[in-house]
Amino acid sequence: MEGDGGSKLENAMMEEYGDEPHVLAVDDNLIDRKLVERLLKNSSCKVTTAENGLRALEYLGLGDENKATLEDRVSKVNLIITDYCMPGMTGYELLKKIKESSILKEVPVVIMSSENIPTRINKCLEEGAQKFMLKPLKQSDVVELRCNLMKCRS
Amino acid sequence: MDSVIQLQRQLVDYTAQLFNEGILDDQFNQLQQLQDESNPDFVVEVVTLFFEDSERLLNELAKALEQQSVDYRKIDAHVHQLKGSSSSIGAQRVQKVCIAFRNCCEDRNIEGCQKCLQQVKHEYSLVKTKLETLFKVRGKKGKNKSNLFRMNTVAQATDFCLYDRSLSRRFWQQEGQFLGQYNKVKTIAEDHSQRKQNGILDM
Repeated sequence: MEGDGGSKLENAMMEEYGDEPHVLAVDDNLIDRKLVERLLKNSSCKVTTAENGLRALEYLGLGDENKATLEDRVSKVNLIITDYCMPGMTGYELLKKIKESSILKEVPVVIMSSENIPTRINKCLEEGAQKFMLKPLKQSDVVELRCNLMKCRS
Repeated sequence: MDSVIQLQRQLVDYTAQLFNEGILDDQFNQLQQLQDESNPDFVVEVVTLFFEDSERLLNELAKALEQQSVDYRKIDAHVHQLKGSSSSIGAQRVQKVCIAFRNCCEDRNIEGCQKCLQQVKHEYSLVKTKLETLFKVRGKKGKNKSNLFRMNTVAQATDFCLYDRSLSRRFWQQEGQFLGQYNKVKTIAEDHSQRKQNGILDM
């Protein structure tokens, strides 16, 4: 009986975004963008990439001049994964903007960094980041993330 | 058929050497594992991007260090980029020099920075040459996509640097079952003492 309930829940979650969650990946480094895109696609995710915070916000409908409809914003992405160190707007600042948005604050945000700095990590987690991941990312990291994403939707 | 096996063995030897010398690290294996028959050129594509991006950064760095008034923040930003990309493809020695380079920036040590630039150029050109050779050898296998894929998975098997010639010979002889074998071999390679039990590979 319990097994049944579990798979029903999973099916319901699958239905929510089909089999392919849509992920927005933000990173100023071209190689890292390509890598994270491949990793996510290998985990059956639909991927959109952005090269900085501003472009990411524009895409999400939080840009200055953009008055996207409620529907647009809600349906766009299921997860945002962003690098911490970016010129202009850092990943932390992007995280804050997302959490300040009444429409996007429920979208899980993952921060990546090549530097393992506890104060940085805590700062991000306190601001509401779902997870902090060390670069370079491996396939196993993304598989784990995908599982977490499925679980947290319940 | 013999010359094919020879070539493949050379490739595995060559790759293993790059790992032994610390020119490449496990992250390069991660890249190879992301390549498959539906994305057969992934590694070459990423590495090509790395070459282009690195050359751009090295030029910027040379220019920045020639300025009358050196902008250390800008230099640090460029080195940070190079450190990130070299780390992402597994170019370990390039990454290490970048770390030292950033320290010199922090200390505003112009001579240290210049020295680091020379070192990073050297390490970069080394890894570039090695990777280009690797791709050329693979390229010789050429049109047969599934061969390329198999070569990649053997290169993966060298990530334990426990390269065993008799193991690799078995791979090429049992091509159809190769993928199934890889997982078995991986477990074997991980436990050094089990490596001798080649009987497990006999299908």
